[in-house]
Amino acid sequence: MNLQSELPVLLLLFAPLTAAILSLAGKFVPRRYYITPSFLIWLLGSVYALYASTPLIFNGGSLGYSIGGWEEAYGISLSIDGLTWIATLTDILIGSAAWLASRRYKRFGAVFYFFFFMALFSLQGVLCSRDIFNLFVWFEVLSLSSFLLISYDRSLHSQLAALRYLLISSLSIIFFLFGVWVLYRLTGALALGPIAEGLEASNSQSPEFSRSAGLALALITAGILTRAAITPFHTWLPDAHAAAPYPVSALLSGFVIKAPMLAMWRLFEHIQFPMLMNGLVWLGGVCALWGVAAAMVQGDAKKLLGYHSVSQMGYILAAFGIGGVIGGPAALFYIIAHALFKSLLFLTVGHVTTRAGSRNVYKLRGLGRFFPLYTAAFLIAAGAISGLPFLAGFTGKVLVSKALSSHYAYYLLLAAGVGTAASFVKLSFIFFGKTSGEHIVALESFPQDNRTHTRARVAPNLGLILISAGCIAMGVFPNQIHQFILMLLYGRRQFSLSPEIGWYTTSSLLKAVLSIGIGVLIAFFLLSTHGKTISHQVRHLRVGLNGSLRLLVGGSIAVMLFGIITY
Amino acid sequence: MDKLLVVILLCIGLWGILAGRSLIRKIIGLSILNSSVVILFILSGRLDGVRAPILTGGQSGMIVDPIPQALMLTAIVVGLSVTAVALILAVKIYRSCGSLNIDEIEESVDESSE
Repeated sequence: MNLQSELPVLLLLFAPLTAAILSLAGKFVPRRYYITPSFLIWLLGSVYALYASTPLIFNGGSLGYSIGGWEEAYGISLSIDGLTWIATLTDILIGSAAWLASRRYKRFGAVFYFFFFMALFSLQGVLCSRDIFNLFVWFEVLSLSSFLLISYDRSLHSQLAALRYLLISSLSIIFFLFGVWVLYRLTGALALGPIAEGLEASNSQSPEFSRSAGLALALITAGILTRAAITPFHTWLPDAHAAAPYPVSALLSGFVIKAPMLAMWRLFEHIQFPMLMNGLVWLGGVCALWGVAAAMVQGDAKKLLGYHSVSQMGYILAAFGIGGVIGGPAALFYIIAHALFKSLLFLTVGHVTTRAGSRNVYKLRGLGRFFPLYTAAFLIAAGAISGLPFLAGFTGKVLVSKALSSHYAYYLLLAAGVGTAASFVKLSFIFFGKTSGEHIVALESFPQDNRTHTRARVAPNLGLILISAGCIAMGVFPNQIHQFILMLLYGRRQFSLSPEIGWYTTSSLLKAVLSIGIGVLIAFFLLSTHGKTISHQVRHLRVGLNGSLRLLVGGSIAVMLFGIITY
Repeated sequence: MDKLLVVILLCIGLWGILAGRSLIRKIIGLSILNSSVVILFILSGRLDGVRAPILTGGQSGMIVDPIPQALMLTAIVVGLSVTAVALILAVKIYRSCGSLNIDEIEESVDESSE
């Protein structure tokens, strides 16, 4: 056994698994014996694994471990490369912030932390896996833990949201498995590398072969798009992320929906399918606009954030579809930026709405007075997502627009950017203005026993500060971070590939100012009496469970037909 | 003939999950869909041979492909856990709103959130 290359891979997986098992053992012992130790095991184990793998990763290498020593084509192999490395780093940051926020509440006990760490464990599995069947297993473990975390509050709303998520994701994974079956019949392999070789070798064999290959890749893509909450497969997300306890929402929106995108990245790393990629760019544009249109009319603060996750995934998908040395790093940059600011948004908005006892965007006002730090963090995150200069979202948008510069779908993203600004101006009103009586009562009478000791009240602030710092760093030092991502993806020698990017040019600044300006105007319209009536009517157009299942089946069939025709 | 069985199961499962309003019916539909995939994989392993994949010297030619069987063992366990969680959620929803009809449940969720 080669310790230097295999130990980090095993450690990355076993650290969260050990933490989960220790948490479960916590059912029988007092809180102090398991809460912090399990977190430290996960954090230190994962950080050490990342540290130990740096010498190889930073030189463009990768390290792997094959379970049981089977052949690559059908054995289970796990590995770390640059993409996994940086994704894991983001995962650790978001996971820690969510954990710190969750410690504030005593009601999160052993079972909660068990599923929390199981979610982190399976996320790690998704990031390390190089095998489509193995990916299916990790996806299922991840969603099983998510269902239970979402319904942890035991309210009817959260249970229905979890069941809806369960039905949609299980139906989509069946399509995914059909795709796996076709690929296995065609190539006799389950690992991604050998599948790509198998498809390549027999690429020109027969029209029947390429039709089946297109069908399989399309089905797998549809399954992954459902997990990544891309329109029209997104219908589960807003409810699920709104119903979950807010530290869980931060983890779900921050990272759980990005992991499938990274899995798709692996799938299409070697397999060429240009028509599908072009389709994904358009789908990303539509998704960004659709999500933002739905977000603008929402009255529930967390649901509004949920729809913005859908919309932001559209940006990522569009950049991913462009691919290559510009689109790929742009997508990854945006994934990290969105992970930071969206988890920050959920942590701040989730906290203040929980304390105020309401999530109504139209009624809550003046919370800034009670939560100065949370307001500052919220403003950083809201500025970032709306594309305010010198914050993560702005630089992310510069990269994405660079990638899409010659594609018409860019205009869809531009329109979505205006809507995003509008919707966050609307949301930020909850921090300003005059507080109404009932919310002051709720704030003051917040059950004391829900809080733990002082340290647990201070610690969550640390998470906020860390993530806010990350948002600012990505806005102020975009070039260094972009270069770092390029180095991780392509190794040191490919530096000449990196294109010149004008981060703060007149046109990009002007675009940001214009879209935020128009956004402010739209926000004032949305908050007017007319705007509220229209929003109310649009909100009632939502699809129910049956509608979303039909959308999923219809969408999958459409993607399937597209795949058969175009491969 | 075997493929026809898979297609029939697939259609029944899709019909169960898409049509109708009962949550239990949807969960049963999901379970049937899961079985159709399992059967598909097992059948495809069977296409290559007939003998059990236990090598006892000299008869390696006509064995069944063992990989789909190993995969489906995992898929069955995953399907079982998903069904169990789905049923638990359905029972809890039934207890708090007294109905399994999705329209009625969505209505009572709307009422409670407004």
